[in-house]
Amino acid sequence: MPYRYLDHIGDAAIEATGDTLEEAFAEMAMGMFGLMVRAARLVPDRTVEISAMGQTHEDLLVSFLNELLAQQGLQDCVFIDCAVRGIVPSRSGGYVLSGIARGVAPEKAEGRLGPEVKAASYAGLRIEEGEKGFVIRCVLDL
Amino acid sequence: MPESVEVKKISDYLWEIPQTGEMRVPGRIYGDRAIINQLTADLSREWSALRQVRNAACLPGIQKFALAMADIHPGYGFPIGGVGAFDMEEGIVTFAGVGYDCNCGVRTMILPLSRAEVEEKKAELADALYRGIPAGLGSHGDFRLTMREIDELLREGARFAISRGYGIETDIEYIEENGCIAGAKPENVSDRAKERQFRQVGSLGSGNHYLEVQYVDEIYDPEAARAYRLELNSVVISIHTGSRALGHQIGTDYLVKLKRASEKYKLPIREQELVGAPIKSPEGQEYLSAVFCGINCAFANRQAIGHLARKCVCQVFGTDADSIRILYDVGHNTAKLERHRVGGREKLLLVHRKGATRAFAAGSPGIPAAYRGVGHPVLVGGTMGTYSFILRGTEKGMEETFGSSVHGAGRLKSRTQALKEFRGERIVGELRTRGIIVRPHSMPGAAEEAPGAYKDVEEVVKVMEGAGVSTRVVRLRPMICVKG
Repeated sequence: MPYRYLDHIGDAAIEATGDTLEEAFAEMAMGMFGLMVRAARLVPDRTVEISAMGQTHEDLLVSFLNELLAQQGLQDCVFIDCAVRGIVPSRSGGYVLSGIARGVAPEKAEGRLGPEVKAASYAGLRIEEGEKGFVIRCVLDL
Repeated sequence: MPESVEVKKISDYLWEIPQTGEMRVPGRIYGDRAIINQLTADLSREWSALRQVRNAACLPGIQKFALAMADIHPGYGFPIGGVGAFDMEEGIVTFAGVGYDCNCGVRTMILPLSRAEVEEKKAELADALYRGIPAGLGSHGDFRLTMREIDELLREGARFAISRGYGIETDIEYIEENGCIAGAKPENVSDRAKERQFRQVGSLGSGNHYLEVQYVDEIYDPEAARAYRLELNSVVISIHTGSRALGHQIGTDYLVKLKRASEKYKLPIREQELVGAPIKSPEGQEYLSAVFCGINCAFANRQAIGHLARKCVCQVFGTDADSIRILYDVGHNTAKLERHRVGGREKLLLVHRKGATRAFAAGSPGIPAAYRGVGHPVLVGGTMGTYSFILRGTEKGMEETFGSSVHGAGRLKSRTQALKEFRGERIVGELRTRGIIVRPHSMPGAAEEAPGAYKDVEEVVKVMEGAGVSTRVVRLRPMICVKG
């Protein structure tokens, strides 16, 4: 399963996997969206460019998820899909991510909405690379 | 292998993590045997509230104890229910003590209506509140602000909302800090945080945020209830929300800045969210001024929602808005400068309360004149199917917990577990048969917030009473619940 929800008393913990870091990050984003909206049969009608920076991969993941949350509010939409085009070293140090998120207006998702995620946190944050690719974990504040 | 933490019993309702290793003070947890057993069992998990109490006890300048109230559960750096007070010279301001929702809190307003009157038009009122209070993911408030105006809101708090017609002048007296904490500097809040907030002022949010119509079903302390002007069957509206997207973005922005500051000042950070800065450092002062903006934003938000709720009541019952009085408005995610006794003398401290309610006893400064003889109301939210409580603080609480108590029931089951066990539609139906109308904006959200997902709030407040930190004044039973 590309992502799964772990048991966390207070908030939401997600584990996501991918052959590449880009895939794992995108799956984590999908897990986060899954908390906020039941996306089945919704067709995205808008696309938002996403970019994020971080000194480490961990910083980049938190920055990426928080960027998605900020853009969701600023663009007045609910994201249901995401693709990470690339994660590359930055010239000034650290890493840069570029990608897109697709979504719908909140009113189109009425009846399918769940709680709003406030922020991605560093609690229990983990990025591990193994033989089968990347496994990442993050706790989201609800 | 997760680290173990030793816990010793001090009394039936108070437990201690003895000061060892890098701890600068002992940790203290208010709880009964069942709460402590659960916390101890959770030590085998990745996220442990006990370890978070221990980690907070390692922070520089922390005074007396790293504390956790009886609604303790894992948070970010601090546990939820955590309280930490810091010396102004040696201490730090830490992100963990505030979190991602500055000044999330509760406002309770007393209606000039009897329970019987409200029962008669309960469904109508529920519909009016559901329509009239923006709530849920993506909801917008009916405020529209320019960048200059949002700066005014961050400086002025509830006063700004009142100046725009959202409320009445006398409301101010019954809000913690009179609805406006000094020292807010909007220039230290990012444009992005302000842009995210433009449309959200006057919206409830989602998750555990709610608006409830409740009635007093039991009085424990007639003297304090009289001071609060509460009688059996008095009807109130309670609003639980905070600083919305602005608070979230302040948290996100300063987590990065405070990480750098923690490295610069070589702070012993055992968990990323414990990052902070010395209180008097430029970084500490900057963060604190942004937190104060978040605090004022939340005051303005609850002021606006309170006004919208008043309008709904007036529309259904034909009452005057002025006759709906604020009982109190108090936050439970704050960092504030307060004077407390340490080592036999009074000193200025920075008190962090993360999921803990200020509970100042009789005679404390900063309490409305009407409550000075009994202490201000301590508003404790329960669940939509059980009770909420209004408590009062005690002198013992002033000594032991820097005037703090619980803020809610505290989660018992994870949201994942709750979604497996409960169905939103069924919860709403069951509560309807018990006379409670629930209007959720999200059915999965209703399942996550099912009463069975929380500890028994009555047990939690009894622990604090048993420990002598706060005492029950009245119990509130829900009639209507609008969930975000």
